[in-house]
Amino acid sequence: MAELLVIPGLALALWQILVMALDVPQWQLPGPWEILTAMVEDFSSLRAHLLTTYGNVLMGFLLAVALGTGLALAIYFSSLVGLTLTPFINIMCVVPVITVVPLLMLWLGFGREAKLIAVVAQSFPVINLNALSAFSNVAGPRLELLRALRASRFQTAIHCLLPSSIPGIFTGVKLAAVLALIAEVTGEISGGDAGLGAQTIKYTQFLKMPQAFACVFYVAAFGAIFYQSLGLIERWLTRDH
Amino acid sequence: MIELDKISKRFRARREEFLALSDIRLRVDDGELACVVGPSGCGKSTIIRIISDIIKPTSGRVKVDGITFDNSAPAPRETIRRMGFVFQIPNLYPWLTVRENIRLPLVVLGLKGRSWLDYADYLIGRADLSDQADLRPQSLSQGMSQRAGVVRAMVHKPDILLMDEPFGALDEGTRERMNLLFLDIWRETGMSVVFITHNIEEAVLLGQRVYVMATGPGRIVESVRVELGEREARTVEGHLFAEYVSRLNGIIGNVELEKTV
Ligand SMILES: Nc1ncnc2c1ncn2[C@@H]1O[C@H](COP(=O)(O)OP(=O)(O)OP(=O)(O)O)[C@@H](O)[C@H]1O
Ligand SMILES: [Mg+2]
Repeated sequence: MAELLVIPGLALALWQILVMALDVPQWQLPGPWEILTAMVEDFSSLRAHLLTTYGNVLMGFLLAVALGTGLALAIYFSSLVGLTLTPFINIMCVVPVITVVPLLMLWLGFGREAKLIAVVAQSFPVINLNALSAFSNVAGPRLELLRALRASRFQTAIHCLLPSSIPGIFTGVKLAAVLALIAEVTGEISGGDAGLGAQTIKYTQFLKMPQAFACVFYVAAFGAIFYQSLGLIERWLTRDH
Repeated sequence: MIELDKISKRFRARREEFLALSDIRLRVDDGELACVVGPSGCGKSTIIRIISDIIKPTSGRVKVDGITFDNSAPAPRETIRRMGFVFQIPNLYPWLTVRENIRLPLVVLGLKGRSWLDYADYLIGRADLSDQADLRPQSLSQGMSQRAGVVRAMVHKPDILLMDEPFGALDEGTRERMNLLFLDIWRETGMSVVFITHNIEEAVLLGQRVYVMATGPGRIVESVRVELGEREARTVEGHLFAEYVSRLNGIIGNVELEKTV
């Protein structure tokens, strides 16, 4: 783990040295030291925005996991549901959510609802598609065991489909984590004044670049930790697979 | 009692129809252990899937304990739940312990209470898996895994056990020990058993009746009643045993011969 930080540390040091050596003005590009200072000094004013962004991403992401996996089960068990929903999900998968964010804000205002919907809409299709393909790859005999016992669909899902498919589902879940963060920040940039996205824009407009970069760093740190944690959860869940 | 009456099964694969089973008549009395031997692809697994109503026959009827089902009438869930199923591979779930795997049918069938759990533990002991019960199946040998698969199929006290080449992947020594152990457990339970194998010695050792199958289309060419004496029933070395084996080999040889002519 620690050795993973060596290269980024060196890069930051180089960045700092270059900024100082070339005398780059702060409003063009602040050095990492100024940014870190801003992250600490402005923490109290950024805290509410931090919580808004992180909270929305986590909530939207969890909803997307439930929705994506739940719909995958519904599609798996019912070809009618599949026929009805698959075209829409496929489209949602390739449409960048930023294209509909203005519309969502027109309907729902600049508050958190529009952003939450954007996060869910952007991140659940990839979970859905990956879960579905994992379900259809479950080995025949594993399912036949339950079919021979005439297990219900619910039992089949919890005893076999879901545990068998954790690696496949997590492929989608990890992508969804990234997409959720992108969708949330995009939403914040598009309207409203809450969240790290909105703050980045605000500070940039006032040329307060260390603060703007501080917001970017807070977003990046969250994304990295979020993604890595999911990897750890996956490893733990599949420790016996 | 299990009775297959004029069962046929056609599979359709890429526009081509092909007859996997033709005119299968087979009968297993209560408490009887019937073996089905035949070459790879003759439709042995398909027969078992039809009995357990996982796939539908194209024509013909299945009768289990007086209940008839066919391609229009599905088997009642209760009838199928009186069956146990042993697969060609152990088919244990890697995320459950050995004990949890063996108890899984109890969970699915909603059989609760101390006595069921005790019976599961009894079977675990009977299969000599007590020391491994709380391990994951990955740490089991092939023989142990397959024993776990066998007792899992028995844990809900089924009347009928359907076994699809359960010991086919094991080496000969292990298989023989498994056969003898299985015979002992089976005698305690009095289940009717359909035991699929491609090994003639195994069929003679286990079966009270042996159905011999052939391919192209999959069909039963002969059924042989096996009566080994009390003494010979526990070994593969006796004189009578050898006689049955050579008789069955003869039947299979004749089928092969007819095919080449
Ligand atoms: N779902 C299916 N669709 C198409 N063909 C099938 C299907 N299931 C089985 N078959 C074919 O039917 C034939 C009989 O298959 P089956 O698995 O019953 O044979 P088997 O006697 O059990 O063989 P083995 O000893 O190799 O297990 C084979 O030719 C197989 O390819
Ligand atoms: Mg088979």
